[in-house]
Amino acid sequence: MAKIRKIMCCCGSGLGSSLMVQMNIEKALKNLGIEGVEVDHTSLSEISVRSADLFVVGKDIAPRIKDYPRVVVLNKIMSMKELTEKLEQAFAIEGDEIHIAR
Amino acid sequence: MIQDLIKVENCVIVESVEDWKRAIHLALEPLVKDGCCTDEYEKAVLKMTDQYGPYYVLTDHMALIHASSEAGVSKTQLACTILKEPVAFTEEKNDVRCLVALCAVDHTQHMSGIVAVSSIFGDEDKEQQILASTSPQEIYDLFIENAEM
Repeated sequence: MAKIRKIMCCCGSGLGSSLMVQMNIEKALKNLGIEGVEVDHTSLSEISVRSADLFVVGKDIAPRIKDYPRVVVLNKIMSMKELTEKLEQAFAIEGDEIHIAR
Repeated sequence: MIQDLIKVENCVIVESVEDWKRAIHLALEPLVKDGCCTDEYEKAVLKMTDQYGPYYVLTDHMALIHASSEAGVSKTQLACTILKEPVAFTEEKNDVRCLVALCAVDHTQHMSGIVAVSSIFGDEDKEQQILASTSPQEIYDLFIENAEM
């Protein structure tokens, strides 16, 4: 299982969809029975590749962090179903790189 | 507390708007009038739209109009405008009927507002309910009822 201790949700402003996604991730992790993961939210301008083990963003801003090695991209930012499925996939990945967009 | 974040007076039902720029202006108007933010905030939203596209369109029917906390914001507050006729932000995002305006002084004070937006618009039935509102009070009540996690 991929070692993910910290997830960062990012959006342009750092207070809209990123906060919403953070709350949904916390809910989804609980549902998946995954514990010990810190989740936070911020704006794109405040992150670097070392800010977290996994980055979760909406598809609008995905091109901005396309070089990051571990990214989950959400097509429907408010969909718990899509988020839960993609997180489950991310945590199941063995290797170091995580790119889940579709 | 959600009661500190939204007022009945700032829930508005409008027939239609000319275009998306007008929609943004109208959505933010109650917050500017209330002194929660200045005109600079609208400019910041437009500038970020140039940069990212309409990043605030979060579902088929809802846009969470907001910029970052630095842009002329003095108080955390929400406003909600329902459009009877949809407005288009792009060719794809062409069916927006609810504009939730948000200005926030930091990254966390508006948490219960985001909880409300998330639970209303994450649920198709509730989304339809808010879109069908016939009075500001109905809109306001939905926010209050849905602000608990």
